Amino acid sequence: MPFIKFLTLLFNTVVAAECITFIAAILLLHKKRIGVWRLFIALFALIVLAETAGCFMYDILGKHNHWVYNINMILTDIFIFWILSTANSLQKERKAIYIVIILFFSTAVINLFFFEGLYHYNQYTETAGDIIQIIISCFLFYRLITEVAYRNLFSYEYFWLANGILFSSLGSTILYHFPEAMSSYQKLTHINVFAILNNILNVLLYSSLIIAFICRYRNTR
Amino acid sequence: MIAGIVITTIVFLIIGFFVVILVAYINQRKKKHLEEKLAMQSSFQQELLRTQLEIQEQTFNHVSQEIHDNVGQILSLAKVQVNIMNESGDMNKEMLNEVKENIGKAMIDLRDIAKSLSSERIKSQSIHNAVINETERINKSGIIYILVSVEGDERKMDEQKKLILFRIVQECIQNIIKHAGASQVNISFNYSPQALQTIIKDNGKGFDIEDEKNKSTGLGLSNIKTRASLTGGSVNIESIQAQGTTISINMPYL
Repeated sequence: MPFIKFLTLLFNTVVAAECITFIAAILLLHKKRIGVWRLFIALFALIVLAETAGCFMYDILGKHNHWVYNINMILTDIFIFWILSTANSLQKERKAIYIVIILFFSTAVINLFFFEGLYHYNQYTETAGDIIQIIISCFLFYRLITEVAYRNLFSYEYFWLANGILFSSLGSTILYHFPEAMSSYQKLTHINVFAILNNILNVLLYSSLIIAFICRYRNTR
Repeated sequence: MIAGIVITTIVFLIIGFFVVILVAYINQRKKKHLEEKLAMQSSFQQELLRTQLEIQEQTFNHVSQEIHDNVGQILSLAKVQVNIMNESGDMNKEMLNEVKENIGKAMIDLRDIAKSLSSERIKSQSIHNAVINETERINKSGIIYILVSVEGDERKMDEQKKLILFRIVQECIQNIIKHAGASQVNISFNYSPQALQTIIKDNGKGFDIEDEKNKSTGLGLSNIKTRASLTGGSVNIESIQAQGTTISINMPYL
């Protein structure tokens, strides 16, 4: 019975979107020619694993799961910064992005152990990660439109990647800062605003990522 | 509180949406701009090719005319003289010298034609020197007198432009000889910092520019203008009847 309860809790919109993206990554990015984008398979394996472990710990074992999401968030953000830096249009900014990655990792680890801690959701790390992702995505857009040569953005994997990341980061910058307010509102009205917004943002992010995977698959054919 | 969070999140998402739409719009405009540029380049290349073919055709006609009118005539005369000597059986030394002179003259004429045709020869020297060599050949014929003057320090010019300018000047001289009835032509080259200004002025009968524009065949003034504009230059034509015509060509060096 606990296992069935676990399964019903596990299969919400976000996890479903993550699982679909994970399957898409396996199907579209498994070939050698795909290059560094193959690492998305590992990233989504980690995300799905973290999500499953998080649900299992909280809903079945009744333990704190924030540390799982905190570590997952740091690794995911660093991967996103790095994968954006592999875009040809950001070749000149690559070193700067590496420095940002080192700074972000250092401050996130310090925050994880000394400030917000392992057992609280690291909102500041989340916000810092979102802001950096917004900046890099916008900078990539800027580079794409100021390049001399034309490229069809709708078939360019980095455009869709930046697109999904931009929407997701813009949306979640505010979202994660008011968990108490959302929780008390849910208790009063039975409307889970956080879940609704989070679902929308995740669907936007993962659908953009799947399109990016398709573009990557086609562009490296 | 909750309304504020929702509204802010929606506003942020709308901002993101506008950013993406703006990027897509600018990119689409870039595509259009590049396509237009490509079309312009392609039409420029086509126009350049057409002009080159036209110049080639005119040059062939010029060669044909030169050979027929000068070299052909001289060689025919030499042949007649040789026939006379052959029929009379008398090897007249004076006539033999005349034949020799005529053949020599024909050879010089042929060499001059070859010089004026060789684009490599034109490219290897300055434009004013190429024109001076050409006018010396014409002046020798005695049909017309052409004076060339140069102002300013010579500057390096793109070879393609030099050749096109030379052909324009050649065409102007041909027009003056054929239609203007002029006795004198002044050609001046002014090497200014930005461009080379070439002025061709004759003392001929002049013509009505508007009339000439309406004619389908004529002096080829539109051709001259097209060629100059292809190389980034411009042409201005002024003509006063019974006083002469002035053609100014402004051509950038590179």
